[in-house]
Order: sequence, then structure tokens, then C-alpha cells
Amino acid sequence: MKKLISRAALLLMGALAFTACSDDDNKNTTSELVNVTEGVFVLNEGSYFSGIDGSLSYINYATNQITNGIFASKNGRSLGGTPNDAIIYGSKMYIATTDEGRVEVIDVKTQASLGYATLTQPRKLVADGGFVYVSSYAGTVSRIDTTSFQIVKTSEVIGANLEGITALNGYLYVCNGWNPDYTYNNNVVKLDASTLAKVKDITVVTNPARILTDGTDIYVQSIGNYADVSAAIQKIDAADVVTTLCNEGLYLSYYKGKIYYVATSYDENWNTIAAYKVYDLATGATTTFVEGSEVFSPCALAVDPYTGLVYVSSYSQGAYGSADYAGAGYIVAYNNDGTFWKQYDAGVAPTTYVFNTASYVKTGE
Amino acid sequence: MLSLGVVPVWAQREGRAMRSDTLRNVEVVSTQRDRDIKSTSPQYALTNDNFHRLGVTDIGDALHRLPGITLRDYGGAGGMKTVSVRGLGAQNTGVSYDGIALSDCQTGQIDLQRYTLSGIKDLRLVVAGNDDVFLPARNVASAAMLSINTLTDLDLGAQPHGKAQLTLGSWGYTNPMVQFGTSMGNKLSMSGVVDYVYAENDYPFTLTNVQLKTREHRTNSRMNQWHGEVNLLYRPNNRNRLTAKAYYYDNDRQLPGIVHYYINDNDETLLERNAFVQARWVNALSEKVSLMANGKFNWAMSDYHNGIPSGGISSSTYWQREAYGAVAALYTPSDWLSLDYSADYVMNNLNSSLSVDSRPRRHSLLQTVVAKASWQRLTLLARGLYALYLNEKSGNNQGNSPTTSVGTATIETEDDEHNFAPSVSASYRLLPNDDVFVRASWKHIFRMPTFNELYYYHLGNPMLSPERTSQWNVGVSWLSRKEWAVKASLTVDGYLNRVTDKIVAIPYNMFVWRTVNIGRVKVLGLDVTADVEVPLSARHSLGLTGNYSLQRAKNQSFQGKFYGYQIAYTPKHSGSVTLSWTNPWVNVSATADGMSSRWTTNEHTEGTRMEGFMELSMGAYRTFRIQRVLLTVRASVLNITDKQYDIVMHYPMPGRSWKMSLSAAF
Repeated sequence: MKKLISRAALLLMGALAFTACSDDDNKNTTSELVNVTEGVFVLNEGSYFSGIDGSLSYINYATNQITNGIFASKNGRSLGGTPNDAIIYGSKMYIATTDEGRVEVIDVKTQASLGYATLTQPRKLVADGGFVYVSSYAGTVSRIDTTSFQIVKTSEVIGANLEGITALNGYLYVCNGWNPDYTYNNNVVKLDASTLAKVKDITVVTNPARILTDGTDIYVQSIGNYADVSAAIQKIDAADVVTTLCNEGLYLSYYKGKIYYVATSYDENWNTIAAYKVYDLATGATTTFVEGSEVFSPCALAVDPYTGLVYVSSYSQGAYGSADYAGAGYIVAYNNDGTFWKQYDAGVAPTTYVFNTASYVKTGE
Repeated sequence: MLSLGVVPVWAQREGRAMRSDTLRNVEVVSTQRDRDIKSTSPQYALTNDNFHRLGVTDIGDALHRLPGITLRDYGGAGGMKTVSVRGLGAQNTGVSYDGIALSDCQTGQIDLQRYTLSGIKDLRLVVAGNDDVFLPARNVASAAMLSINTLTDLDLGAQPHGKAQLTLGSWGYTNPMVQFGTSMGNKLSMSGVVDYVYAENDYPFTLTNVQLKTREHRTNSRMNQWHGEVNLLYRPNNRNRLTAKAYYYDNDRQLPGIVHYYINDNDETLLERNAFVQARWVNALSEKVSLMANGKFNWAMSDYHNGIPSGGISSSTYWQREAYGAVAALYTPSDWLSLDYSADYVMNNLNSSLSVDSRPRRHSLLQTVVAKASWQRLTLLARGLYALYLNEKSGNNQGNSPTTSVGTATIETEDDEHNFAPSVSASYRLLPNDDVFVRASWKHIFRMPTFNELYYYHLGNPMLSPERTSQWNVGVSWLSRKEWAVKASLTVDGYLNRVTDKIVAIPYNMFVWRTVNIGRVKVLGLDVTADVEVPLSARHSLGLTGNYSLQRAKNQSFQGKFYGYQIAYTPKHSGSVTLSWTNPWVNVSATADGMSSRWTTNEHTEGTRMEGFMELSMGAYRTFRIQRVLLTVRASVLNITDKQYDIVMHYPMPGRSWKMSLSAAF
């Protein structure tokens, strides 16, 4: 759905940019920090009202094969209803399952369950300063201890159906997306990460859903109201000043100074027209990344922070010719130059990507 | 007036009187099964005496005994139950209550859970055409019609009489019922019934989570339902007959919701109230002409509550009203011919407490012309239905289209419709002295979009057209000779249904769906019923009753990977069989019913296949007479093998349970 880049990963990425070009790591230097992606976890949301559980898949870069259903096969039980978001923090992976009221914790290497935190309808996760933070449809943000997996602190009710969350400079930014009566909000709530106290509301376009940071600024994507207010991607700077970057965009991901996003629009007959675009933060120019004819109906986009591979998830075509929300989806991977790389069969609604990265010091001859 | 064990005497008497008064039909007074065998379109009935003999315990159980029906059941006493007939969908099944149609203009589906079996005289299912010609137009405006006829117990000239019944069952099921009837002279009679149902419904079930099996209970599942009605019959002379009913229903229930693996915190509640008054007046104007007038005013409210995670409780209340008037004229110029003209007017409206409320209103005018002719062994019936619908809407919810902008003005509705729907049917008696009939029928019918389909926020599409259905049926039926000791009957019907412009919801995105007329379904099927009763001695007999349905319902909406797949929630095979033994001590029955596997999606995605199941039940009853009082004691054990199954995915059905009832009638 969106790629949450942790501050740690961003810092590492920054270091990488200075020390090496990722495609060319055979140069004669004494030592360098090498960051690699070993694979990518894909979280499939399932379809709650069709009774289809969510699941976890893994694409292993060594074999370029996808393995589906790994949580259930490793743990003998299901993730359950609507696993909505996942992050890796340290050696653990945190999975927020909305309709099971849990944040499941597994070991990244073995995918064995380590425990879970219990809370009402968790939605999105971010790690910051040794803790994991989770937004919830309870209108609150909670802090999860990374060893006991207990909820150690919960904010006041700061909104309604909270969605995307990110962290920057000791603050949390949370999208206050919509309300249970299907009306929409237009604010991002800024919280003090240490006290979980609300600092301020930042007004953005209607129905903010996804949010990420490049370590300097915050990027927020709003869905709009499905009528006269269109989707938008906006920037929130360090002074909380909001700038609109583009009046479109449903899914977004950050890679090397650029925002990759999917813009969707509809023709008179309600046919979806999807465009895969790149917004250059430095120049403000928008270019089309790929035509995307392989993608039937997009439901997520993510860019590998080290290889630059662009993953686009798609629903399959169902029995009525439209997107099948209750059927197995698939993943199309593009090289960063827009050429087709691979296609993988995934679970139902493969909406979240979590890159399994490692870094090590390489010594040259 | 003693309504157990036999078809109520008054019903036969009234039936005979009405027929001789008004119809002068060639048909002699006959049993329900006789009429079902001779009809030109398939029709089936389950009568009150059969409920006991076949061990039927509730309405859901009763519906399993009728062929062609796919019951959607959310489980337990409070679980919503709707029926789809021959793969056509619940919205294509009309339901009438004592002769006058029930309606739900919002969803187009009638929840049959609310009708307790203790007050029901018979259930009739008529597929496609209806052999009765003297009917309101609305009673033939569906692909299939389920008629619920209640024990109104209106017996002219009878002494005060009544019945009290108490039914108890597992998980707190308590259902007392009191019925009373009296006659004031030979022209007026009145009756009343009140029943109450309480059920805790916290039944246990086994939850399978990959390799983990846990024993859980349904929670938040309690229901509190009561219903009362008063019936009146006024028959000043042989030529006039007025029946009237006032009805009230109230159900305050919790909804247990979908089963989760790790949490069980559902807090939804649903309060439903329904009140109506209805009346029918029939007048035999002359030997050849009869007139009928029907009127109804209906009010229904549903109030859905659920807790909001961020605090508070959300409530959505809907109110709907209906005003209905229908007239019909029957002309029987000679013994072999009946002609009928019927005209119905219906006004429906709906409003809600939602902030995105729209207030739709519909005026419907339906007219039918029917001709039925019988020459010796041949019966022919032709019917034409012409319907006009005018929709109006006000409110702040604009038509849900990508190109219209939100405003507050009343939009121009472009969804008025007029339609013509013809049907023809015939039956022919193959042998002059045996009840062997062949029958064939064709019916074209349409279904108007419901208010939800037209206007529901983020779903409705005011540009929808009606859904269209064509039904072809060919069948044979046989009834054993009257003089035989063994009573037997058999019906076998093969059919083809084609649904076009089927209304389906397709996603615009995850949160916004829209309804469109793109579905196409072809159903090929077979319905079989068989009934054998073998007398063993003077007071012993064995009965075998069964029904079997084959439904090959192909989704042909889109030429893709899933073209021709079986539509969701429709088993290919389903049926039931009951063995009963009637004797002087305790009458017993054993029933097996079940269905083959189903898919919960039209795409047959992995993880959406639901296994078939077979459920076994047993029942026993006995009647005693103590002076003027007839006592009936009944006991049943349901789902004896404690089979765990779902009819709706993640809504487990109850396991083994019991039910007992005691009734006293005088």
C-alpha cells in the first residue's frame, strides 16, 4: 500500500548514496557499507466480508520465487481478518491485523510467532526511538514495547478512523482519514512521540490515508471524497507548512528524491484509467514511469530502497470483468528504468510490501 | 377448529364455499397435493399436519423440505433467513402473508426468520406462473412466490375456542403462543394470536484455524421477539366475504456477526418493528362475475446500532411505508373458461437517519389479464402483466456517478420504467383414468431495482434497469389412484432459467461500489419430490417423503476465466428425506437434509469453498384428548451427529440441540 521507510533505513540509504553506487559495488575501496535487499514480504489483506483471511508472502531475491501463506504454514494458524500493515524493526516483523484486534510479532528469519499486542482495530505501524507505534480506528495511537509486546502507552482520542502514521524528529504524524458514518476528515494530527500528546492539527486535502517521510519532509496522500474533491499528494515541511505536489495519486512510495505513485481516474463508463508516475522532488516535474499494461487494477506500489525495483500489486479480473477483491491478486515487478522484470502470483489483495534488507561492511582488496 | 393432525376443517369448508360461490370451477374440492399435481406450473406445499409428521421444527427447517429453494441462513433462532428459488436470488422471490404481498422496498428481501411455525397453517411455493387466476397482480409479479398462510382460525358459527402452546429448546429458546377465536353469530368471527420468542442463542461451535481447533460460543446473539395479530371475517351473505388483519411485530436482537479467530467483541444490535393492516373483500356479483378488492398499509422500521471504536454508538434508522390497493374482476363465462383482470397500485417510500439520506418514493401500477381454459384433459393458462413504475427522490445524496457533482437539489430521475411480462403454461393429463400429468410453462418476468440498489450512498445507481428473468419448465407429475392402499405421488420438473441485466455490485474502489446491470446467469436444474405412505395395519403406517434439487447455475456475465462457473452460495445438489412412522403410541420421524459444496465467491477463490453437509434430526409427537382439550406433546433432537457446518461463511450453524413443545387446544 505504501512503504514506510524507517529513519534508520533512510540514514543507511543516505550513507549508501555517498559511498557507493548500488549497481556497481566492485570498485577498489578499502571498506564500504553495503546495503542489500534479501527479499520482500508481501502482506495480503484478504477479503474480510467474503470470509477470506489475510496471509503473508515472501519473494526471495536469491531464487526470485514467491512463497505464499508463510505465516500459516510456519505457525499452524492464520493471520485472520485484514492484516493491514507490516513493518520490520530490528529482527522482528510487526503485523497489524485490523479485524482480529492484534499486532502480531514474528521473527523475520523464521517467521515464527513471538507474541502479539492486543488493541482495537489497529491500522498502520511505524517504528521510532526503540518503540513501535500503531494507529487505530479507536482514534488513538499506541506505543508497543518491542520486547514484551505490551501496549505501554496510548494517546487520547485524537480523531476517528486513523490511517497512515510516520515519525520525524521526535513527532508522529497520523492521518485522520474518515469517520464511521463515511464522512471524511482533512487533517493530519501531529503528536509528540514521547508523550503521545497532540501538538497540532495540520490541514490537508480530504481523507488523508498514506503518509511517509524522506527524513526531511513528510509526504501525505489523500484520497478525496470520491466526488468533487480529487486525490492529492502534499508535502508537509519541518515548519508544518503544507504544499500540494499534485492533485492525484492513490498509492505512493519514495525512492532517491522521487515520489512514485499511481494516479487513477474514471471515464464516463466507470472504467478505471491508471497511470504510473514519478514526481521529482527536486524539479517538480512529473513523468510517466511505465504504461503498466500488465496491471489490471492496481492496489499497491512500492519501490525497493536498494535495487530500485518497482512493485505494483494488482487485483485480478473477476467474474463480472471488474476487479475481484476476493480473488488472488498478483504482483508485477519493473526495473527502475521501467522495463518489465517479473510477475508473481500473490494472495488476495497484496497491499503491503516490507523489504527485508541487510547491511554489512565490505572490505575491498 | 382443532388445528392439529388434520387440515383445519374450516379451511376446507371456507375453501369449498369460496370456490362454489365464486369460481364455479370444473375442479372439485381437492387436497393441496391434488392441486399441486394438476397445476400447470410447479407448486409445492407444506401443511401444518405435515409439520408434525415430518418433524419440522422451524421455518428454516420447513423451507429445506421444499424443492428448488436455497436458504441463506445466518444461524440460530435470530439469524436472518432468506430464500432464493432455482438460482434466481432472494430478491426474485416474492412472499405473501395470508394472500397479500409482503415487501421491503429497501432491500427487496424478506427475512423469514420472523415467522414462527406455531402460527402457520401452510407454506406454499409457486414457481413461475400461478394456477389461481383470481389474484392481485402483485402476487404474480415475481419469478417465484412463497405464500405463508396463517392459522387465522376464523370459523363462522363456532364456539369460543383457543390454543396455548409452549415451545422450549436449547440455548434458552422459549416460545409461548396463545391463540383465541370466537364467532359472533353466523356472519362475523374474530381471532387473535400473540407469540413471543426469546432465545439466548449462545450455542457452541468448533472454530478451525488452520491446525488450531478451539471450542467457542456464539455471543451477542440474544433475541427478544413478539408478534400479535387480530383477524376478522365478516360474511353477511353467500356473496360477500370480508377478511381483515391487523399485525404488529417487534424484534430486539443482538447480532453475533462474523466469527473472528482472536477477538469476540461484536456489539451490533438490530431493532425491527413492523405494523400493517390489510383487508380483502370478495364479492360474487353474479353467477359469472366476481370482484375482489385488497388494501394494505404497511409501516416498517429498522434501527441498527453498533459501537464506534473511537467512542459512542452509531445508529442508522430506516423507515419505510407502503400504501397498497388492488382490485380484480373474475369472469367465468362458461365452465371451461375463466378470465381475470387485476390492477394494483403501490406507493413505497423510504427515509433514514443518515446524514447522506435520500428519500426515494415509488408509485407502481401493475395490471394483469389472465385467461385459463380447461378442455377435458388439457388446461391452458396465459397471463400478461403490465407494470409502470415512477420513482422520485429528494435529499442530499446525488446520483453516484463519476461525472456528477455533489449538490443539494432534487435530481431528475431517469429511472421510471414500464414493462410487459407475459407467461403461458399448460398441463395435459396423459391417461384418462390416472393422475399422470405433463406440464410445461414459460414465464418472462422482471424485477425492479430496490431503493438500496438505486440510491444507496456510494453504491446506488439511479440509471439501473430492471433485472429480467425467463423461466422455462417441463415436468411430469403423478398421483396414485384413490382406491390404492398405498398413497404415492411424484413430481419431476426440469427447468431452464435465464437471468439478464442482473443487478450486481462491482467495485469502483474498495470503499465505493456501484450497482450495474451486467450479470447474466443461466440455470439448468431439476426438482424432484416424492411422497409414499404405506399402511402397515389399521393404525400403523410408514411414510417416506423426499425432495431433491439439482441447480447448475452458470455465471455467464463476462467472457473471462470464470465464465460458466457456478454462482456463489448455490449448491449443485440439495435435498431432504424423511421417514415417518405413524402409530397409536408415539409418532416418530427421522430426517436427513443436506447440500453439496458451495463457493462463497463467483470466482471460486482458494479458501472460499464450503464443504457439503448432511444433517440428521429426529422427532416424536403424540396427541391426547382429555375431554374437550386436545393435548399435543412433541420432542425433537436436531443435528444428532453434532455436524459443524456453515451456510453463510463464518456464521456457524448450531450443533446438536433439542426442542420440546406442549400445546393444548379446545
